[in-house]
Amino acid sequence: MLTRNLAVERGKFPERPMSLIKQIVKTGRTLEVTQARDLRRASLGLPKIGETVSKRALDEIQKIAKKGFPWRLDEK
Amino acid sequence: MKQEYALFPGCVTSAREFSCELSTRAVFKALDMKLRDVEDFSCCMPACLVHSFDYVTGLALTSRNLCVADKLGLDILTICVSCYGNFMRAKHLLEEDRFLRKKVEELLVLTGRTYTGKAKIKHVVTTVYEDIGLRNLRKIVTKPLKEIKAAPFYGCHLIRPQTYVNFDDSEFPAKLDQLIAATGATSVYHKERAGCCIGCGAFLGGVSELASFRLATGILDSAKEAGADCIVVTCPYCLLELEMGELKIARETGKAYNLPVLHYMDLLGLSLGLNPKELGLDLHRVKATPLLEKIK
Repeated sequence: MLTRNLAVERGKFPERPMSLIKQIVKTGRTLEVTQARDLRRASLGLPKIGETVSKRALDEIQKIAKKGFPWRLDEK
Repeated sequence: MKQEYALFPGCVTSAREFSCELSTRAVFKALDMKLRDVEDFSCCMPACLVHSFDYVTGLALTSRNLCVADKLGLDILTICVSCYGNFMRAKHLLEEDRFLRKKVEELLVLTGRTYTGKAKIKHVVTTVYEDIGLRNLRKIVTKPLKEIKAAPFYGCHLIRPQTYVNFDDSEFPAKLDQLIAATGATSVYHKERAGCCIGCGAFLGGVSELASFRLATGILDSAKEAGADCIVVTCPYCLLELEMGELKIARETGKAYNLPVLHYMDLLGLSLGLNPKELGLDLHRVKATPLLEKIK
């Protein structure tokens, strides 16, 4: 795991995992919940969950990420 | 008083595998156990992905969810074994490594949250096994599934590594077999029962479709040769991988397994007499119709 961390520090990482990290920081989830999917949930009787996690949760995730992932999150 | 859990559906269930959430909610309602939806939960931040980028930050992001449950005073109930394993790992690291915990707490303080470690981590299968128990389960089953032969597929993070996931033996697990037997179904032995579906990075993750294809073939062959009517998994990722694998194998090789893949919540729900539609069985990619015909 630490070797992977070192590789990331040197900018060596596959594109797909980085796009997932960005997705997590943006929405709080690894998988996108589109409006259509959320409506589908509701049609099945499941609670709607929105396109992102709660504002408070997202703020907290972004605070940790901003401090802990200082590299390249804004790039590309 | 009703037992209450903080429901943690996880990303795969919330965004893709709605049937797992439907069956979990229906079964827990039938068992008179309360589930609370928690809006401050996020992704579990899987170690194989997030912690790989930065160990301490990843662990802090995972631990934030544990802090949310700590504050609520509720145990976390996961549907997915990847979330379960990831939380168990985080809890283990925070409890065992004071230096690491201090580093994590330095990040958690930015959110105003505190880790107390009070909330326990549970998976729906561990909860049924430990909080209800086999004896009670046998008593509350109203529709024993005597006609069904089920091939258990444990899922990596339910049984490995035993350092922090101490639910069952990692090489020769038996508890899912016992839980299947409690529904009245017959649990059939097959060699891939404790194998891996490579859920973390394959059909959905885009890392290796070939690996997914090969592993799914091995698992489906193993269950089919054992004479199973269905495979019973404990994780929405395994369900997704095996169902997609089954369809892909049929499309590319013409080999049709016609082997429904059920989450244990589906099987338990059927044995409690719940309606298949209420359990979301009609949402599965591989139709469960032949199985449902057997238990009519």
